[in-house]
Amino acid sequence: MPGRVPLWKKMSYLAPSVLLLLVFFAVPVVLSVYFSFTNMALTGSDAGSLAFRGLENYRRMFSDLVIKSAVINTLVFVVGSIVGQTLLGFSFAYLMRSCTRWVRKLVGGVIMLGWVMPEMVAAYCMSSLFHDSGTLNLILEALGIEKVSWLYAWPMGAVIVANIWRGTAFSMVAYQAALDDVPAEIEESSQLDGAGVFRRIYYIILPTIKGTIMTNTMLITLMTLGSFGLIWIMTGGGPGGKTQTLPILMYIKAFKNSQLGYGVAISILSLVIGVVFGVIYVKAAGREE
Amino acid sequence: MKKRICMLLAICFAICGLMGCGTKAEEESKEETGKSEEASAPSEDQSGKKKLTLAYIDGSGEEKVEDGWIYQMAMNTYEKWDKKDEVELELIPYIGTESDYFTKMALDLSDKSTAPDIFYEDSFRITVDSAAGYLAPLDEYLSGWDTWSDGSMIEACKEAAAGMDGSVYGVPLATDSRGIWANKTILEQAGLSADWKPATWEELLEGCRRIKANCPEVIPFWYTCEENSEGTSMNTFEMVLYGTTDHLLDEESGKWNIRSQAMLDSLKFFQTTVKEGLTGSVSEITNTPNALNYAGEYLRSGKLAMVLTSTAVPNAFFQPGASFEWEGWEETLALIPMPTQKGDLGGSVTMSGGYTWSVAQSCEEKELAFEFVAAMMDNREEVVTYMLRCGQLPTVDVSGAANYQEIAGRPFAEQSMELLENAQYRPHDEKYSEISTYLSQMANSVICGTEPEEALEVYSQAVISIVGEEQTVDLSE
Amino acid sequence: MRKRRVIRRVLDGGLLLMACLWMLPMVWLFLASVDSKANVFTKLPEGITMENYVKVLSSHRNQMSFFNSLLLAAGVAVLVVICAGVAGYALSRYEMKYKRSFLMSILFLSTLPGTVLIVPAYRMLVAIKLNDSLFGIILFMAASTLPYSLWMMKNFIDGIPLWLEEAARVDGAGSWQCLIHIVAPLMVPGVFCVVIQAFIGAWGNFMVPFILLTSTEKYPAAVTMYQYTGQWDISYGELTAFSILYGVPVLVLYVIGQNFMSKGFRMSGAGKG
Repeated sequence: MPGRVPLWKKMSYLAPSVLLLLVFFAVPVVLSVYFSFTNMALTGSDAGSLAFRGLENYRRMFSDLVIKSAVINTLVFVVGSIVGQTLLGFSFAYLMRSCTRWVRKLVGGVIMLGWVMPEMVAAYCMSSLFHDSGTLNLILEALGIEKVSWLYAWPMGAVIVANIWRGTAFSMVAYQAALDDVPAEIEESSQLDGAGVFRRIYYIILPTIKGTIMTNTMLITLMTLGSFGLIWIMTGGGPGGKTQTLPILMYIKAFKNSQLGYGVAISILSLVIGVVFGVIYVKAAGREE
Repeated sequence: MKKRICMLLAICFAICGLMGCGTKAEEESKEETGKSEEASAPSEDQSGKKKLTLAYIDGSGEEKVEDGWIYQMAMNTYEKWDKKDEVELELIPYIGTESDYFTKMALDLSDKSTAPDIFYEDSFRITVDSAAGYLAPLDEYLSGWDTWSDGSMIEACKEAAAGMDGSVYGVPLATDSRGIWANKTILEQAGLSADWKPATWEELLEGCRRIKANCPEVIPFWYTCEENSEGTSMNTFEMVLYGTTDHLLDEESGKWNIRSQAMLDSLKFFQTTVKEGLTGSVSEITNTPNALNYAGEYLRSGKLAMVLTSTAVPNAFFQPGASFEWEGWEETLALIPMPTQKGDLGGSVTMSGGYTWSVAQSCEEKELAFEFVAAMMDNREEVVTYMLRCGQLPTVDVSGAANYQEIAGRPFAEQSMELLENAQYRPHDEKYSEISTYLSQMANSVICGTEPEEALEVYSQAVISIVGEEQTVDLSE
Repeated sequence: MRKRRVIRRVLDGGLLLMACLWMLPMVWLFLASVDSKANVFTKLPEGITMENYVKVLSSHRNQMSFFNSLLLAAGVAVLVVICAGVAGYALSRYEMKYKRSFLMSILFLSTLPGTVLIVPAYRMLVAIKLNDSLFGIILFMAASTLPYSLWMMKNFIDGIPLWLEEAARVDGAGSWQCLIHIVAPLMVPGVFCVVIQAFIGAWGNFMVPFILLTSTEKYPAAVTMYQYTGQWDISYGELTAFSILYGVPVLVLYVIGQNFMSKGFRMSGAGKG
């Protein structure tokens, strides 16, 4: 059946999307890539004369120490987010199967708030949580514990927590759907065999939803790699560059230092990292289609 | 198959229709807001009238665009302008943070069809924007303008608006100064007098130590040290560095100073404040973007003695309705000039920047644009009103204005203006904004614990990598 | 039986506790919005007032901006659903060369942050004279959201059993009718996911409208939120009130979507009958 569908028909289904993507996505991307090979700048004497510089931006990237730490920060941020969101998302999805109906709706709704909220607002909220005189410290004080300068002492931890707060809803929904698809019989039979909760999860459920885990993890990676606003408002990349991920570095270079070409080259680097992750996932998932 | 194509087309039309409704709604609302001067196509002349566009950032927080401070100043001037019938004026307000505004400006200026004719520019950006060819040099028009040549415009402000080649690229609109705001009550409690004026860094540090000893609950001295922030460079580090003999750039040779003893001394000054506990907690003074907010709260509640910041800040923080509303702050606070290192070089330091009106290079009616700017500046009453609202200092002599008493009577207005006598400016070099990021990083790292020598070396290396070794002067040799 | 109930109670308690913890970041938001003297510190209001909300709601500029946001987000969502729905169907059902590489490459390209693409996009839009227009922004944002949406749609449609359509075809239905009558109803949860994702993305986007727009009346709420940040002082009371109001429509959308989504799942039983 599918083989008999004529090519133009298939193409017409794809046409609107492809057109949009081509004009408003592909063109800016291609231009950006071109810029990364130039000395493109928004202002300053370079702005007046766009000159092709070849691989100079990329060469500079390799010798720039700041890039190395930005890559490490980005990896830490992404991995931390993946671990947190997956654990929490799965746990919520799993536990909410067996709780009271209204509790499920309420808790689900609250968790969704983190995702649904506009990024700026979420950033202000998390900022207020971790402030020296913010909500968290207020509670600590009330409990008689000494205050902690979260954004200063544990900046990476704070932004990872913020990102987890934002993104768990997404994973939770994905795992809820996946768990719904796990045939009840398999679970019940393993229960009858005497398997405990963790055994069940590890040996029965996880393998069954392997596809979802892989896809979800990949999507989290892609979403987190480009995450900018949250970290920017919470820490601005500091203190001392401890939370300076590649998108933050790119923004500083491109817009604060007016070196757009270099900034785009940095983005291309983060793109490459994304591709590397993607290849890993695809290999790990095997032929899951 | 025809059906499918029809469906797709129908959907496309539906979307366009939706958009059409949207645009209609916009146009209706445009008339509602009463901005009858709005034209839809930026560069078309209408009925032979010439047109000027003026872009600015609306930081007034007013709900209606028409109540905005700059809007009022521009419109009131326009209404009384003698060329009103020949020229149409379109105002383009921007909302957002200042850095977003400048990014947008840079983008808009790069293309003739989007560039405004006149725009609000930070003097800090004049060097880069003029190097990019975005700004029109105004020297030929300025020479014929009375206010410029008869001494009504503060000489020092003229310097701020010059580009790298010495031409003037903006008409200074407002300026500001920086100093130490001190709580007189706490000074007295510590045994210092209410009009204590430290003459050197050492005296300032001594005063801090006294405050710490006699008022243990109080933080003696606050400054902000956010990373990657121009504010840190200007309000904090340069306020200290420019009290020495060596600045950032040797203006004559155009070469950047690196590895200088002066910078080392400045860094050690900050290190001392941190080590001896003379300033706030490191996490708070480096907190982006709230470092200054903490100072506002502590100052109000009497937990802070002194803060080094712009003269516009207390008014913004403490006036009725503001975040840290504090009745009677005018009586409790004093404005102390920041001393120089050894008490020489004029005795005090103030970094000054300010904002200008600039004309775009792509403007077709440069002379007309300049005339309007001149008209705005010559309308002294409007200038005073604007200064009262935004809290900055006028660049022109407003003593003749009808409402002069309102600003003369404003608390600390006179002292703020006095500070300008020793005003210093940031380097007139387009590389400054990039080097400034490393400057703030250097200061920030010292405060967070790095040794000054190490931080200075990192900075020096950065400068070398930006401008090349020949453009630097190694002062350690 | 008893044990089950106890477990359930424990779970309920635990989950509710987590929900409370989850709400912690929003404490400051709510407190400051009713505080007559709000600042950046978390504190009890110095004088409870609804003034902030009143000021935010009565401002004509804000009303316009909310309307603009709605226009933008709805436009993006509609456009994306249509394009992704149709293309997702094709990608799922039809054999095509390079299908996987196409999907993968656009998905990965979408990790490029918007801040990178905005400058060339701006230049391009100026060139085709779409720069100060909401329509241009809708097109651009739709294109940015399309990669994820295509991916999601395709996966959802993959999950709809093929034999449902085949049964319908046997009954004489054409391809298009298959799409509308069989697949689409089952796609509803998928559609809602895509709609919400696209809507939220467009609703919360600041950079794109800020850079691409010039006229104040066209600014969406994401941009006008910044009217409360002055040079030195930020009006936190109004900012937080605005933020809360700003988040409400998306929440409403989600709640509405919830109902549809659960209906959709029930309908998936149609395959088992």
